[in-house]
Amino acid sequence: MKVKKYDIINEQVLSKVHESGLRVYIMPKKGFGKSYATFATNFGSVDNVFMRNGEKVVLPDGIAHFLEHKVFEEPDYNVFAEFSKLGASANAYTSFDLTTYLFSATDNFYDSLKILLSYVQNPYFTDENVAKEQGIIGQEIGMYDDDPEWNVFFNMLRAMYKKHSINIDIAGSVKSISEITKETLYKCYESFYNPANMVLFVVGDVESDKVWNVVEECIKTAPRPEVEVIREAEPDEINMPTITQNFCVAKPIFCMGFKEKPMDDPVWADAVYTILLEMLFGKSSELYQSLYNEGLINAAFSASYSAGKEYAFVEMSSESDNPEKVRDIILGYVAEIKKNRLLKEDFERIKRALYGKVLRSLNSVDSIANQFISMIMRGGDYPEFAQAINKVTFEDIENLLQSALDETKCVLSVVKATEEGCES
Amino acid sequence: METISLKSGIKLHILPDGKFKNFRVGVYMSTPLTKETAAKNALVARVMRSSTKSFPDKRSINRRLEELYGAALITGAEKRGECHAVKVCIDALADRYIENESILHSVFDLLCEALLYPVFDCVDREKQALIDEIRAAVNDKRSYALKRCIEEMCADEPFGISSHGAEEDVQKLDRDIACEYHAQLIKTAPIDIFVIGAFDREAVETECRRLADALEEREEVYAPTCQMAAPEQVRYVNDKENVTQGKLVIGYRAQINDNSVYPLTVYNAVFGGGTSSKLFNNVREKLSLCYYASSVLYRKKGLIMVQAGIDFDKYQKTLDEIMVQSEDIKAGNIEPEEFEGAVLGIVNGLRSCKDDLGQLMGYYSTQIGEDIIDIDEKIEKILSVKMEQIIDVARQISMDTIYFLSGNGTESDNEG
Repeated sequence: MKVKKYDIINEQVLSKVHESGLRVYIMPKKGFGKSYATFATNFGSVDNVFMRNGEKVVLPDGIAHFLEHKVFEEPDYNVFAEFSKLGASANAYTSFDLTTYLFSATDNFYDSLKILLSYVQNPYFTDENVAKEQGIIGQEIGMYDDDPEWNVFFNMLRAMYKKHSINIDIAGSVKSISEITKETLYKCYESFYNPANMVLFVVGDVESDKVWNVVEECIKTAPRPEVEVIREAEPDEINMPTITQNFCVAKPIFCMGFKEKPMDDPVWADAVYTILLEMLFGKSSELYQSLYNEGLINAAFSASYSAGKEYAFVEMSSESDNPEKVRDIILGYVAEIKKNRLLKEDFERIKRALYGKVLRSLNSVDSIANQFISMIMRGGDYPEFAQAINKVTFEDIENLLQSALDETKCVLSVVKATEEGCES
Repeated sequence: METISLKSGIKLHILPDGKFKNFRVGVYMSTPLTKETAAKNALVARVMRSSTKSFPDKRSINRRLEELYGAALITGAEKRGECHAVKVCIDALADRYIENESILHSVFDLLCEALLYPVFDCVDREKQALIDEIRAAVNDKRSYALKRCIEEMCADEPFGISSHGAEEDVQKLDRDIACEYHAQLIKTAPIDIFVIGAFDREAVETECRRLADALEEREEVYAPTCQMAAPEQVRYVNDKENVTQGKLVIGYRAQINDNSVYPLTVYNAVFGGGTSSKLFNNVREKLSLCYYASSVLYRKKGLIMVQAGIDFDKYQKTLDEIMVQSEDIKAGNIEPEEFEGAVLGIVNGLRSCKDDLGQLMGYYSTQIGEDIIDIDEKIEKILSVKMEQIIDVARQISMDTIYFLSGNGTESDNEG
């Protein structure tokens, strides 16, 4: 196995590519009681149109998530019960860019790993089990429909993106999932759930050869059809500057977003944006203190950066009695700061704080696994993040500030109750 | 974990562990839980995080924490049985990960600042924030129902007092009262300092001795937790609020002592402690009566609290089924999978706890005033519990209070 050392954070990652094309990564953490395994495929909700052996396939909304649910189905055993018997805790999730299957365990790790690799590679879809799932996922969609925070965020994406399929709900709609058949599921599975399109990441007090033995025992090589995901070109401009939806909430909730230009190096992008946003909007910033003291935002307010398959954005969210005023204040503040008002001492201090926080997050196997798998799909190496933060210079941040947070690329999404309140 | 007496009434509990990238220091000052002092403890804890002699506001404290590589300062007032502990806790990056610099001394300086030199000018704002927090308890209906049941069940015992204190007691406080109280706290409360994680052991001991030097000797006395018997007749309490889902909470009294504590821990897991428990599998899965059904053991007080979220009209059926499950255990009807699943669940939780500094701090700090036992030892004790012992302790558990939080007036007919 190849070994890559990260001296600054005192960690290392072992890696090897299986003959099937599966990429395997192992981060040993001696002395940790809990181990974590994630088995992910490079297929998410934004991968909804693709060419397969020369034919164009357009997938119904929500199919990646639907497929995630169905993968657990096995004809002659219950996946969760099997993990329970071994004392492991299993789960899965679908995001914009990928689908992940995982478990954590303090004992019987290798047996649980066998279960993980086996059930994910064994698709079993029938008309009956597809129909059953349509009912269950329909309930799940209903639950999200009732969630004001989920809605304010997705509305923000819809206002920001005209063509990019990030503006489609990950779970789809009741209507779109009613179009899913077992044939579509098999087609999707065969196109994207090939080990050559997948990654296995294991972190914890494990022995790499034992992990590799399980991989050799369980992973089947399969010929992969020629698949190429197609994305429609997304214009630079936003779709619409504001979007409002009525919801039964005590106070209005807003989600404000800035459409950003995707960067080539994902680790670097995360490093520079995280530092910039912490300087401008963090808990020691002028803006945060004044908005908080005036009662315009609550303590939960924070700004974050997200990027993936041909998208990148900054978003910040909070409850507020006056979202439009907050947006105007923030835009004014950003315009002011762009006239070279960034302070180098703030930069130095924020860098130190972030470096410390990133290092401490490396104590959590859950956090490491999920960050690692997300970053590897973006073509980056997560353990290099702490190093990248160190390398960022004040000039890098000043440059980023000039091109980021463009006023013309700003979107405000609000959910609020009607004048009649929650009765209607 | 090693315990060192620094001075009369001031102890250091130290547990170095190099697998972590950081360390956590928790200073706990223990007081008897009383109505008058609960609010004072909660307010003093808030002020310590808001304003000190060298850092007069939150912004300057936050900037200092950022300078210390993103350290975190956490304060609070926590119930431990019928003791109320004011805690000041700091979590910081280990020196080993910082080039050409050591922050350990500065971290302890900041900790001492917050602990010894809070400034009470901000007391009005923090009083309001504390009152907001007390009022917000009603937002999370599930934990509100649990709190209400304990209040009712333990109305004549200190355990029924909230760890924030009551709103009317907070209102009575002002700058002078809070300041005087803080001075008295620092002077008389027994102090336990826990340091866990990656650090230079000698350097930390030196810092802790330095802190102890700034403090006086005091009596090492911790308020005991009283054990009461259940009443002859079960009490029923019903609150009505604007809720869509009913919250049922049942309080039981158990006989807790050195011999029964581990069997009771396993009993609680078998009864309602997770996905292999009787409540989960029967009340939830088989009968579909609720969205959640679980139980929790308050070890120091010997209470077992069952919680279930149900539709209003399922009250009697749920109550009946919970009692069936409780009687089943007394009759010895425990499946091997239920017993094994319970033990496995507790052991896995304890093993995972060793990977998390916050959980470790929680695990050790609940043992203030007791002989501390390490996680591995606790795991062994859990593994040696026998089925018969569970049935024995089950037979000594009595129902005390049934609490139900239901909706106002008629059934709600919300669309969504």
